[in-house]
Amino acid sequence: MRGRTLFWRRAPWALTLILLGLPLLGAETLTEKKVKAAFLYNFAKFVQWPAGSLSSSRQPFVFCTLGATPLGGTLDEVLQGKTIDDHPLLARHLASLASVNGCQVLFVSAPKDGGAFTFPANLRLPGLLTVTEAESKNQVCKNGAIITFVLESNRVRFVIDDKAAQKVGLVISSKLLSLALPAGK
Amino acid sequence: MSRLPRNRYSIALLAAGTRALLMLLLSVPLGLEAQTALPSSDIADKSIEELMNIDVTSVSRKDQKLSKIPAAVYVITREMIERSGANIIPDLLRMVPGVQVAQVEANRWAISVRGFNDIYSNKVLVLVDGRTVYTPSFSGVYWDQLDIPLNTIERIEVVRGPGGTVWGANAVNGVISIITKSSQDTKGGLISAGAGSQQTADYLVQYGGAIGGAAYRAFGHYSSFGNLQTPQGFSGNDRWSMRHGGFRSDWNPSGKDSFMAEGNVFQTDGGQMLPGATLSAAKLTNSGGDILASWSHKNSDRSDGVLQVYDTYYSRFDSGIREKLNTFDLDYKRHTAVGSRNDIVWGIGYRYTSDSLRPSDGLFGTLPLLGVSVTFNPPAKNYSLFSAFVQDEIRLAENLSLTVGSKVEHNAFTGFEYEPSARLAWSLPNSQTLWLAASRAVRQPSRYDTALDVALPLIPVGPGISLNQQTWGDPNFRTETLRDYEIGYRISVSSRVLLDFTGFYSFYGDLESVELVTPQVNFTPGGILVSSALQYGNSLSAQNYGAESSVTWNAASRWKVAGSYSWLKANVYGPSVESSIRELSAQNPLIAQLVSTGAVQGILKGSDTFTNNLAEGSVPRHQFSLQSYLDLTTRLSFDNSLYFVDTLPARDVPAYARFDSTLGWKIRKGITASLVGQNLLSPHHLEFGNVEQAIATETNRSIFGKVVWSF
Repeated sequence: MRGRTLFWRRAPWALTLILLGLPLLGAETLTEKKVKAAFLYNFAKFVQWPAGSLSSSRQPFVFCTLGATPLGGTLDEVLQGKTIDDHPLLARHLASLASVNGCQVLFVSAPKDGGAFTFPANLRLPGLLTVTEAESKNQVCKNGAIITFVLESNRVRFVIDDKAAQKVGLVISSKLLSLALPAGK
Repeated sequence: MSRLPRNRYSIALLAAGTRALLMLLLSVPLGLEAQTALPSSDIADKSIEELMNIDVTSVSRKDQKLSKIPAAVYVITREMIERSGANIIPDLLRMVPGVQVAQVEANRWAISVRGFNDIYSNKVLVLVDGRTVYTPSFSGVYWDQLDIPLNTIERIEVVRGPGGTVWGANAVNGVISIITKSSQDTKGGLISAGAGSQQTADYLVQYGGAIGGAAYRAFGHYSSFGNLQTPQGFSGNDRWSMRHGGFRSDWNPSGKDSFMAEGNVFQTDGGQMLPGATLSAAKLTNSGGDILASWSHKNSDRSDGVLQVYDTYYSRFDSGIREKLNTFDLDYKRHTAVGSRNDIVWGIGYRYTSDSLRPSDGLFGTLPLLGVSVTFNPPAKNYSLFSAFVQDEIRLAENLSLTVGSKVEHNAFTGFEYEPSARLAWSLPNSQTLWLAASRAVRQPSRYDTALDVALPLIPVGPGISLNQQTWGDPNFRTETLRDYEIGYRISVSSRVLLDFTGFYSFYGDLESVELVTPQVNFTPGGILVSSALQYGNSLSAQNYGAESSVTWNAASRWKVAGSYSWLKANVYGPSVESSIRELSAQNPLIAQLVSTGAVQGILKGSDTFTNNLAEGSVPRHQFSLQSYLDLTTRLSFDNSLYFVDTLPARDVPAYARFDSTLGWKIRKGITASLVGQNLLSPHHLEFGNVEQAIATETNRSIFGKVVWSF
């Protein structure tokens, strides 16, 4: 019993030290999804599509998403009112891989049970910037995507496969390449 | 003017008032960047460099995978290890729900899971990278032999509940698995130097590099601890030091194969205070080493195997007994996905143990209980253990899976033993998981159970009456059994909060007991001789039940809070020494007279080890812990832990509260310093109390500082 009284007498000091972080509550941390949606928009700004990808300047630049945990509404919010080279921007969520025609950017989210999505050869289409996400750098070089998101120290980073980009006619600016993580083995 | 009433309301007021004050103080810019809620349109305006700097703390995918496991798992991550302020593994385990950690002396701990705690607690399996650090001499762990520099630990996984199916016998109440970092992740040099008031030294020198494609690290570690005091105020003679050197090497020549090897040598030097007619100081020393190698081969995405071999050796001098143990273990595990619904893991193993347990009264101390004879019959034994297990995870439906399996072992004491289990995991929407489990586990007899033979010298208990008291092990000691039923629920709320609940009901049978063999009274010409013996047996059974819960809250990008609460009720049934004596005293007046003498009362108190009351009352009813990890600035961290452990009624140990505080400072790249205050709420407190084999000392308030330089 003596111990219990001691606890209630001394513990308040301990508790206030533990609750020292309370002032930080309410400061919202941005979620991974929002940050990745913003990245997709920025990637499109730093990549050059082959001439003739979009027939006219009226034609929208389409960001397609696929997968169980898509970026959802946040991509719509990010792209709202923006343009790239005077093309309006559009976000589309695909029901299946079959409807991938007409996409300039394709983001496939990671499967629910971990691991990474591997892009089949028939998805490495000309003029299509493929993006996915992985848990660690080690899963990156086998997945066939041009850009792969990874998390490092709670921050969103990305790995770029420049060769894959060149194969489909996309030119990635050197600035974006310099900000990417070196590809793991 | 009256003082504040000491009740819950005043605490809440105090907390609220302090918080208001702190908000005022911390709103003054100290280099802190207040993050305000940003609507999505503002993100789109950020540059790539700005996006790369945003903290996106949330429940990780690994946590999500962990949330589907149908078992009571708790993971102590690398970050929690670095920021806990702990320097040794027993202190790290205090935060885990369902785990009881009690320091008995500076160099000894009583650590158990879900009850039955004792200095020789025997129902938990501890592994380091797959190597068992468990001694078959008493089925437990010598925690002072386990020195793993905390910065080399990747994580510690604690599974409460029977792990018999996968891990085998003796994982009755839980498995503590310590996983060290791959040497690929510890390249470069590291020098760490620390000293404090209780831990007087902690020096580590480590270097890691690569030769070709193979990475390696090698280290040397020295730590020393000072004496603690008994409740009466005299020194426990438990000062000790540890010298430890080791290495690890990892080689992944291809995507399909990987190899790992590691080895250690260690030596400890220290002392203890032994109970008896007079207290005597004695030595407690260890030396030993181990080597382990493993080969993982991945056949395909659906099939892989691991082959592991290790050998460990130690020599220990404790309580006047020189114990030597050598273990050789060969293990093969294979995982194969079959069809679209089955995931099968199976394995086989062989272990050869060779031990020697002999009283020693050499240079380092005479048998403290003068004239007491402690022997083991046989003093040396070689024995083999064969094991095989199979487990199938069957996907019954999209979100429902059933894992069934069993382990079969053949041991040298009791022959064949079976440990089956069935576990059901149900994934519910909104990141919830519900799981159920039913399992059987066993604890094999130890050498103490089967071979112990203690004879006290003749004790005069009255005019012309002497007592010849012995304690015998039971060569036919049976396996202790456990039938266990568990239920668990986990939910991840808003991607920032993880809640975990577990409930269990455990039925134990054939538990270790100590019974009184009917004393014989002999009338000799020299006087009356009473011969009495305490015999180990399996006459106890128990029904324990309880609940454990934990919460992790990523409150802000700079602040994480974690907490746990455990509740346990133990009910042990069966004959006890006290009840036998009461019966005998009623039948025989001479016995009654004998029992009332001081000498016999002393013996009875000392032999209480396996009685019902002690087994029930050696664990706290409630346990609670709360941790706060706060980044004050990008360089300064302030981490605090609060623990509450309820009373141990059978051991006269009062409830206590413990508060540890750590200040960490990244001085510049590669140099960090930390200052830790442990047990700040009271100058000293008792955690376990005296046991038959040791005089307990009290854990004290201490301070410790450390500088780590990596290059």
